Amino acid sequence: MAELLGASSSKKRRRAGEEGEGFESAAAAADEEDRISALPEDLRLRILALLPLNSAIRTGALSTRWRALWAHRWPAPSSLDLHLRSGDAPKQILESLQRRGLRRLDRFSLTMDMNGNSLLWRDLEDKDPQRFLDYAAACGVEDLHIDAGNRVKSKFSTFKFPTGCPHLARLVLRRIARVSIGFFPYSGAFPVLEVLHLHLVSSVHISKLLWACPLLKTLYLSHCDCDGSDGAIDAEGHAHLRSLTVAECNRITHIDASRASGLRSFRLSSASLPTYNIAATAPLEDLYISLRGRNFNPIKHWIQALPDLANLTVLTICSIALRRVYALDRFGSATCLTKLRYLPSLRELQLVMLEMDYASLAHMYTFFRCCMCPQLERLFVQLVANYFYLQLPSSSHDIYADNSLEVAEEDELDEELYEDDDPDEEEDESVEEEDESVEELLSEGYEAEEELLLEQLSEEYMLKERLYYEDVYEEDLPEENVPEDEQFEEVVPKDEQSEEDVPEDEQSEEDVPLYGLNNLVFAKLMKFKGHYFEMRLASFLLRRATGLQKLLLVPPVGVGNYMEALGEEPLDTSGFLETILDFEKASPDAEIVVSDSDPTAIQPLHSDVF
Amino acid sequence: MASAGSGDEKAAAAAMITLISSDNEKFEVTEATATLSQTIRHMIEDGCTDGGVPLPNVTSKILARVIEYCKKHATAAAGEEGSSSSFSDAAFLEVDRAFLEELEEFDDAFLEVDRATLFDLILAANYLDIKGLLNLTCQKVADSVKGKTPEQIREMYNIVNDLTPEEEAEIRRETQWAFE
Repeated sequence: MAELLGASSSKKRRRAGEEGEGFESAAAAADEEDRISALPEDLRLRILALLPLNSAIRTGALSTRWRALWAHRWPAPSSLDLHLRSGDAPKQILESLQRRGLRRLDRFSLTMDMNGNSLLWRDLEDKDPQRFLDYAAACGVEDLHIDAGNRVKSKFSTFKFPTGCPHLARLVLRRIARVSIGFFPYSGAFPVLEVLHLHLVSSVHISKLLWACPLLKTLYLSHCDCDGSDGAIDAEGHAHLRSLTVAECNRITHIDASRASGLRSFRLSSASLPTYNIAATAPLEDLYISLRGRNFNPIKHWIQALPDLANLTVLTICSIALRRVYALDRFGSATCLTKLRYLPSLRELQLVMLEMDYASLAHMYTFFRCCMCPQLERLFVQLVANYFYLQLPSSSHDIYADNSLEVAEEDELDEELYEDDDPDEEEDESVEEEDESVEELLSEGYEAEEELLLEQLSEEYMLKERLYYEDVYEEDLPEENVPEDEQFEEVVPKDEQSEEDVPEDEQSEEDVPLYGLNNLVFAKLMKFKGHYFEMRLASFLLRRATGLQKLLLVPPVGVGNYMEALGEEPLDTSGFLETILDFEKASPDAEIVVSDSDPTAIQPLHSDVF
Repeated sequence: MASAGSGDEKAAAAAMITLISSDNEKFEVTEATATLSQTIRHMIEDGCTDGGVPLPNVTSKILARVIEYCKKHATAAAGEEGSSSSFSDAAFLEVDRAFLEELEEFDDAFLEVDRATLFDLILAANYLDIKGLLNLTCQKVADSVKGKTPEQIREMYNIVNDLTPEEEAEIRRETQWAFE
């Protein structure tokens, strides 16, 4: 062994020399030897066995000699992946586990494939799933996954943690009826649990669970019903929390992470507009705010509740939150947007559009104008996901590709201003009224401004409905141009006007500071259907992003079939591509690609949240 | 140990073994101390310790430290045996606890060594098969790695990262939760 060691350490030293450390004295070289990697494998495994699982896994990224070594630290098999299907006999599996004994387990994963098949129910006894859990707990499991496959039949998918799990570092529970910790005190039941991931758990007392894991770093809740605690997630005691995700847990009304001064990631997707407290000093790096569903109220104070965003590198916001930015920019006091005005580290922005109309475009432009993101490199836009408006009888071809092509055939998209006058005039009037009332309202402070916004929203909503019902695109567009300019003076923010009305050469000077898109190299518009407003957005990006290298347009999956089912022509991507290729480009090298297959390589960081 | 043991153990304790380091230095130790090493115990059982036990993998510097550890723990083992076999009253348990605390302090102080010595001790403990010492030293290394990022560990132990960036990204992706 010594010979072996001698040989390998001298080799190591040579390598260190080659790596550019340079040869110093022999003693210094000895100090810089990589003694730990030179240890024989069995000794390195012994050290790995003394580590908690996550630290052991990290050693896998040290070098090739450490890669995947950690997986062998317990006598095999130390990672069990059980998948129960109908026809399996859980009893036999449990018996074979008993034969394995209570040796340590790194990972235990139990998936019950219920899939509408009642056979498995017959094979399964009430307590069987719980027995698997008890076994894993007795083996000191560190990474535990349970997918009960069904959260309705609670007798098979109720799990109770009978005793603490002193080694458990990660707990992932999916499709489970009920989780409970059957002992008291709860505090410290999971003393080293760092990652808690609950998806589709029907009933969980989240506060008790949180209390049981004092060192929690990552909390991920998705589609869970949280019991007790008045709909609040109280992570107040969790100073270690780094990442907090609450997605579609609509009984949660408040999230308190005010003590988590190290919070890096905050992701909230909800239709119930919970309030939240984040530590003012949290160095947020990624932020996701999506307020979905049919709730058209803007979240109150979503910006005010944020910490300083100097470190923010990835941001996703939905169109409802965008609308709030727009409203605050137009009607709010000077300071209410301060936190968003300058995002010096932002590199990736994703906009989740729950609607896509004229107002949405205005909201987007406003964001780009008033929130400076000098480092922004990647832009993702999730366009309207569903086709509910396709089902409206008279509207189906409004938004459809060939229609926008008709528009585009005019070949002057920039100048063509859109649609019929009626809704616009109405909006004009309403906005004018609002504008007048704004002055009064502003003096009354913030709440008044909220009300104002609500009013405005209902107007917008009416406007949108009109658009769908009336064949607005069939209006004779060129005639509209003249009144259009006047109309929009009131409606559209200033940038929008310059965007649409000011001749290009006049614009060019103020353009550069106007929209912070100079660093943008990649833009991806997802679920792109060639809709008129989508084309407008594509055109806007091509004209404004001076360094753009690639604009990727991804049509929605399966839209062709859907269209055919409705008796429409399938989506013709080549049609709108032709039009877009003719658009004016600020960056001559910008490549425009329509891709049917969504390449996984260029996904937004937040693609997993939905 | 001599005080606690029976007549046989006294005889065994009196028996001395000579250990010879790689640089030819000779160390006289009692058999009780030497047999903390399973490797040496087997040699004694096989009756091949006459003329000393050569240990070509262990330098005198390290061997001296190992013997220091074994002496302390041989005493502890003997003390423990004595206490558990003959007494069980609270007063004696108190003494016992004090002794264990002292042993822990000894271990802590024993581990106050530079990194090169620590690794030499691990290798020696492994070669001599001294379970307690091996656990102690490996735990020390594990504690230094625990909770650190790969970058920090590499810097601490001068590990050269020969993974390509793609490989490293893949490793991190596979078990991303552990790197967060």
